[in-house]
Amino acid sequence: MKKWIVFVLVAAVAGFAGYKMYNKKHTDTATAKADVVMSPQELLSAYESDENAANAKYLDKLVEVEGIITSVNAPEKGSSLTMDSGNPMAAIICEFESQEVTKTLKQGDKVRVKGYCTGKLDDIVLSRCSVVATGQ
Amino acid sequence: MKQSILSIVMMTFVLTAVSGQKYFTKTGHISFYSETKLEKFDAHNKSASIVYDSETGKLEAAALVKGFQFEKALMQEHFNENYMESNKYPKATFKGAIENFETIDLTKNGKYAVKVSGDLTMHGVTKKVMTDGQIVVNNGKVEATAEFNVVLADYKINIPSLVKDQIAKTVKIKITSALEMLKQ
Repeated sequence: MKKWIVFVLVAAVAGFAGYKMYNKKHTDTATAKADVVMSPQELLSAYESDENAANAKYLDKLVEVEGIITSVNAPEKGSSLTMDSGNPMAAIICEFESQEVTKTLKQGDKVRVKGYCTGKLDDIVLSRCSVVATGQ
Repeated sequence: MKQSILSIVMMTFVLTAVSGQKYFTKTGHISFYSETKLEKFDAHNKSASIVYDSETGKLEAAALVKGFQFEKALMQEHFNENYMESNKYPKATFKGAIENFETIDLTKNGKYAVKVSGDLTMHGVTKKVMTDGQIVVNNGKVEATAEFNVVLADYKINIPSLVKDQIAKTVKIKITSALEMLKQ
């Protein structure tokens, strides 16, 4: 009898844990601590000198950068902004899951954001960004 | 004399600039979708890059695999770690062409049906793909869309038998993008 109760309890706990894991939320970049804080120039030069090494170092890391906004875009879902990196052909693209930032930020503004580094095409992309600070 | 040489040089420069017109985006939207009885999922990538040369019809696109955002964090983890192995293969690329590019005039308003073919590379595997798409030109704004199916096994993406009923063997990939003229 006792054994049976233990079994049910274990099954319930396991089931609950599994359910929780299945529905696990994305880490909120607004509250998570940045893994690395650097300038857009430093991030770009790391990728330009050795892309594989930079990927090994920064992929999936929460990277915090500060710079001047060169454009604000609102695609179908969410929004994004590009940040000046000193090279007009290779900006830092910061993607946001909501469209909130497009209402408050504009080209020329200074902004500090953190997001997960997803790699470099022409530009370096930071995903699921959140704004740390704006202005000076 | 000097002036005429200069003007010829200028002319050639202008002509090459016009004939080799390129269109591009860095914020192309790629989504994929799959559904089984047990589970449906979709994911979005907002930062795909696309370059199109209207002179030759050449079309190139690339996306960062880790840039695909899922609603469920666990799915995104599995997608990156188990299926796409995105640390090893961080990019998905397409190199090909619009076959009927000569029938398309991106400077004129209209709806153009396009045939695209080329090599799709992801998860370290390159395969030929072919699809129909559409380009809409409206007062200088160029909007391109395409939809095609990918069979996961073609790209050596193995679904463990434990979850094979949850994950479809084919996923639908959709591309929507506004293209800008590249200023030269």
